[in-house]
Amino acid sequence: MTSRNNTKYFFAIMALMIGFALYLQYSITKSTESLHALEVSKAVQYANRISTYIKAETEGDLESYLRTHTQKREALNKILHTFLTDEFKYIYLLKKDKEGHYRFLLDGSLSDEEEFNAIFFPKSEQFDDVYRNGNAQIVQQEGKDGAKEVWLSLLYPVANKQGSTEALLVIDLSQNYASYLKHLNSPVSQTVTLMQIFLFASLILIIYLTYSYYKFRKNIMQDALTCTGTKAWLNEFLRTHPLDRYNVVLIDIDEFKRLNQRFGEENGNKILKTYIETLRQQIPPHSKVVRTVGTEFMVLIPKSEDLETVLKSLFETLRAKEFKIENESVQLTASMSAMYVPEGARSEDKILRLLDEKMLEIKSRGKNDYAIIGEKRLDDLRFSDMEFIKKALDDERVTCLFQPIFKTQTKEIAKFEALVRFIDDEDPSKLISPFHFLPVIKGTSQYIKMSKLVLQNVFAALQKYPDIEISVNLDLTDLYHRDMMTVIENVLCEHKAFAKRLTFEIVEDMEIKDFEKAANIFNMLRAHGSKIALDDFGSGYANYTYLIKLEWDIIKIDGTLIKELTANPKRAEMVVQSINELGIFYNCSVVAEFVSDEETYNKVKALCIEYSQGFYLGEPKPIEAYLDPES
Amino acid sequence: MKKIWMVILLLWGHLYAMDTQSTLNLYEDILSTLIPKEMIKVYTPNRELHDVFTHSMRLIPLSQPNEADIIIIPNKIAYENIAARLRDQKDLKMPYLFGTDYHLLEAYPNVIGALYWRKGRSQLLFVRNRLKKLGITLPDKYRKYSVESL
Repeated sequence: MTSRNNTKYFFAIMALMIGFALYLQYSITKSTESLHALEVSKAVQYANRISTYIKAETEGDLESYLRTHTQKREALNKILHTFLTDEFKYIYLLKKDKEGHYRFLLDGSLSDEEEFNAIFFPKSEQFDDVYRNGNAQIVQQEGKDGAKEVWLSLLYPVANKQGSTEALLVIDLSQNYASYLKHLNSPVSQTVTLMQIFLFASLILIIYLTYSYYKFRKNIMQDALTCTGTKAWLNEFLRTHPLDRYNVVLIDIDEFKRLNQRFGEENGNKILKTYIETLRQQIPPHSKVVRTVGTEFMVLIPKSEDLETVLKSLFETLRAKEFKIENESVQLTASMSAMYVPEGARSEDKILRLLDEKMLEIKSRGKNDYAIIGEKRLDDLRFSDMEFIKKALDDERVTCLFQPIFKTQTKEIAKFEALVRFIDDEDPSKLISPFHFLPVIKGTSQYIKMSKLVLQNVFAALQKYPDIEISVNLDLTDLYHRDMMTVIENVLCEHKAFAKRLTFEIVEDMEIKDFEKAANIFNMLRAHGSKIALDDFGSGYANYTYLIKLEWDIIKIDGTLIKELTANPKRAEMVVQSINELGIFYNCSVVAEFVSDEETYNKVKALCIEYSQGFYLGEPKPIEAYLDPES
Repeated sequence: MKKIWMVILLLWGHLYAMDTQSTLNLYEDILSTLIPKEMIKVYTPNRELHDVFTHSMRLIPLSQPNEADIIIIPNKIAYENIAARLRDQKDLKMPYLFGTDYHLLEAYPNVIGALYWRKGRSQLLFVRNRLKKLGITLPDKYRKYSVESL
């Protein structure tokens, strides 16, 4: 759930609660109003009856009749008395005089009974309206300035025979009765009030929780010291902002621990804060800074900016910056690795791993430097992901391609070199080069797992084609790895017949220091009948010492030397010739690698090198492509 | 809890003050219409009303009727008492008399107006011919509350 969604949910809940509270208020108001309306309709019925009765009891002009018939007036007043209840506080009949003032004709009030013709100011223009229009009306009195004890007034016109209003019958409903009605509804009203209080309290609680949530979130999302984002923030940021819109720089301040020890952590923190402020000033707008760990920071730089320029400027500025502390001036250096993020990349993990590797490389060179990892494709990242590799090995999506090694003179296939490939789970027709995954799994249990699967593949090929020989690559770590060698030995014991047709090519990426140990391992492999080849001779660590100290069955001349046969023919031919002669001297077969075109092949042939291998002669393919071309 | 009680007390006090203030405003307005003076000396035997007048910037409540510009009379007994006390000072100018009961207007022709309650409504009534005798002209806003005679 993202922060933006959370905010939406919080506001939705709050809006619902407020809406519910308002609905409750509306319902209770409506219910009270309908109760009031019921009472008003009762008052209208009374007014109708009283009006009819008065008219029936009087003759001619109402005012004249009542003025002259005092006893009748008294009798009618008493009758009006009888209508008075807790509900109807005052009942009286008013007549408008020539001046427009209202005067009492009848008054049935129990207290402060008014005399006939006494003046009355109703303080409401609605009296005049009713008088003029002849339509009964309810007038709200409660809360009106200059009115008390009266809740509502029913103004009922008493019409003469001609239909014009002759007098106004007023029934005042008491305020006490309004309170009574209110109390009648009070259990519901109280429940509603309690619910509203509960809703209000819940609302406050939600607001408090929301506040706490955002405060807590801020602590998680923002580094308190440097105010940069945290990894959690980065994860959330990348959910809505594709990583491939940025290039990434990893910055690690060198030797910051020493500075902390020298000036104390408090001063160290101050310097770190200033350092990040300087960094922020230096990076382009819309860049993001994340504190990954300790004094390591990740900077996302928009792709619109030139990464190399930004990195260089950042490196120089931060290196030149002087930090004042305790009257001393301190300068800091940093190691920075940067990378062009490939299109489609969404997760920072793989990028960070590559940046970390580059960072280690910089640090091993002596720190205080920067480097950019060359552009990579998204697949490069995916195939070098440990999860991907583990899954491929668990699914046994490992296969071998076989590159033929030819007898140079006759162009007959003499043997094959097995080359490992992973099969892509998304596209099984796609084979993944070991360039992606080998560096990641070297030295891990996954590597041994892979080697087992490679050997399985090789033995399957040996079993299927009983006349072929196959060579597989091993490096020193494999030779020195007890588990790996146990696996190889077990496999060789299990498939004794195949061991003789197997060659182990020792690759040159590590220097052999313990020749005795290496010789013992070679002997063990030879004891099973297998051959040992020195791969890439003439490059890396595969040098002449190896020829002197160890016994080899095959020498494979490195491709870089073979390429020179066409570029620098005279000098290269001498070198290649001498290696070939050495091979013959040491009773070794010699293989020329990287024979990539006809010209090179002809040169190799002319130099009488026994075996040749290269794309010109045969690319790595499934073994069936060479041995069962029809299948 | 103490704070809650304080708030309730303050609210009650505030409401009481509002009621007092509206009564005072009404009297200030009416009396200044009748007496065009900066400061008006008022006497009333009604203790409650007297206390209200003490908050006024314009009305000076007196404890004796003798020097008053106007006297607010609550009932007939009060009228009789005041009349007896004023009888002795014929040489002085007689104060205006204003009632808080409609019946005072009926009973005493020298009461020029009254502010009283009738059927739950405040009522203000002036008698024009009595005002005329004293040379008082009502402004428009009060004319609708006046009658020529009772």
